[in-house]
Amino acid sequence: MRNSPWILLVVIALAASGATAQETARDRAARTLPAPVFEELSSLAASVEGSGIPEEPLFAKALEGAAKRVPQDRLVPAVREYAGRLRLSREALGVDADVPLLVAGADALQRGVAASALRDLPRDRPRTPMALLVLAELVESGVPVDRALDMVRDAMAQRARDQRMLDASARVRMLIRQGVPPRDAVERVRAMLRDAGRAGPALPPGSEPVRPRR
Amino acid sequence: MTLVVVSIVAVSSAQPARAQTDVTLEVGASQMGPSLGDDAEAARFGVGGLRASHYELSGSGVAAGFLFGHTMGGQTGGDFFSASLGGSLVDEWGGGWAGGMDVRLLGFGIRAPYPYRALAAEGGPMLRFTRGTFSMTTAAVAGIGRSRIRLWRVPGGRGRLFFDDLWRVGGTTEILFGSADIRAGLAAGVHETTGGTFSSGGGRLIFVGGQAAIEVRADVWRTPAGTDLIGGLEFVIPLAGWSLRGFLGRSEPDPLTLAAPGGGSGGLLVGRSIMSRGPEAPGTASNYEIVEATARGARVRIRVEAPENAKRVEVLGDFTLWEPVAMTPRRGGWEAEIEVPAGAHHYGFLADGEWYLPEDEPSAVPDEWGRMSAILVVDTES
Repeated sequence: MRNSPWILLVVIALAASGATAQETARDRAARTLPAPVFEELSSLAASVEGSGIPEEPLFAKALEGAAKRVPQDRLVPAVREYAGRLRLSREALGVDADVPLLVAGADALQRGVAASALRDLPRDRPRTPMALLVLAELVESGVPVDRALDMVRDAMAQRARDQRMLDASARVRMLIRQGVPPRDAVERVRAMLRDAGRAGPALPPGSEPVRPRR
Repeated sequence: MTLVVVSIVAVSSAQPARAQTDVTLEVGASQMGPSLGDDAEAARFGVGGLRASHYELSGSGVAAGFLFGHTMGGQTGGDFFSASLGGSLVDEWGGGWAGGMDVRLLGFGIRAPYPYRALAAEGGPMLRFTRGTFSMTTAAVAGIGRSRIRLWRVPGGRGRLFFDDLWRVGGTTEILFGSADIRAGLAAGVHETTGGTFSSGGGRLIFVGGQAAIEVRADVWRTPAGTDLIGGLEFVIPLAGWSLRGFLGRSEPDPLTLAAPGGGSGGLLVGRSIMSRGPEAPGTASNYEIVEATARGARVRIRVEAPENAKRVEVLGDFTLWEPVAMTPRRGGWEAEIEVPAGAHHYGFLADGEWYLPEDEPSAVPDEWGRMSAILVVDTES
């Protein structure tokens, strides 16, 4: 029984470390942000909850600002603006959009993608944050939104992995930097995406032995 | 007896596009039925070879391959060797139009039933129009070659050699349309050859999923020997450095070498990539690399060249709830390994407590305060 206090301490320490591992953005905001800022953020989160805006990205945005040494009085206005984009993102992507998708939608809106373009993403294939990131990168690079959407649709239709989508976007931007008009650049990369898996010649040369006509 | 195959194609590109280079070793088996109307037993082969290709984003590139075949039975084939070298030069003209040139050199030789060799070269201009998922490609082709066959008047006697000049002039057109994952199309071609007129017309259906593809084709071929329905199924399924390629159907005639239509053939090859070098994606060649996949995402090594004289560098992002994680000086930069959930994340660095992002960061997004954050992606299938 003499060891009981130590055991208790170990249990508390383990519980504390577990809690740290599962710390949420709200927990960390409560721990690190000034109390007035945290309270204002909490009120803001409560006021937009009814619109389907989760609180985690709001607190995370404030933490981002604090980490970047943004003056305290500029944190909440920025988060409020961000909440507005999250609301637009929710309206465009629908109630079934999860938090990462919602956040990616808000990022895309900030980078110049119209809410209507988010709405036009096909829903019969999994919509990923990467699809929205690529859409935003293409639009930001000057690709017309309809062409950017076509490319993202192609990639989604082929169930392209995240890395492959990002590669495709990077190639479009590379071509644009080389002087290819954005519209042509995206068409080239779409063609590449389309043809990537084409079977081509059935078998290596020789597998169908040529026989003389004699 | 030697089999000779060669193909050559010079390639260059108007655009300094980056290229994809692959070298694949393949082994497998194939079977080829006798020509239509021939009662001979099907020939079976064990096959093995090497394929290499180097293609740029524009579509320009070279491809080469050789294949050995060892007869495993049947009366219509013997050990063979073939090789080819071919390529394309493509120039994008804008507005969906592209033009170019295809060239191919090929050689072939087989021991039985008669020792036969062929060496040929062909090529011609190509015109392509692409709009969305619609594409039309028209190509003209001209080729020349020479074949040699040894025939015996009596088995075991002294053979007599016969040489034939081979040539063909013709053209093909292919139209494809549909969605990104399913496309259908039509193709037609006509060729004047040493042996007469060859013409063909038919349809294709192509299914694409990721890097895998299945193509079903059916063509009616009219050759000097008659009219045949030719076609079959081809597929290629790449999987983590391995690939499976196959064909099942009736093999096409070749207007240049005058190969007759096959009565039914199939083949399956297992490939192992021994080199695969893709174009460096500017958006991903940044400050991180995936070390290993984990249950939630991946363990990621993040590296940055910090400003000179920086005494302390930390990495932070939404995956750390923007809590700084100390980096370690290593190999002239700063490194840290962090577990990151699958998805796209924003992140950056603190150099001596100040927000820092390298100027050449290839993929960055603006924040609400006029700064930029880098993007880190952990593939959902890492």
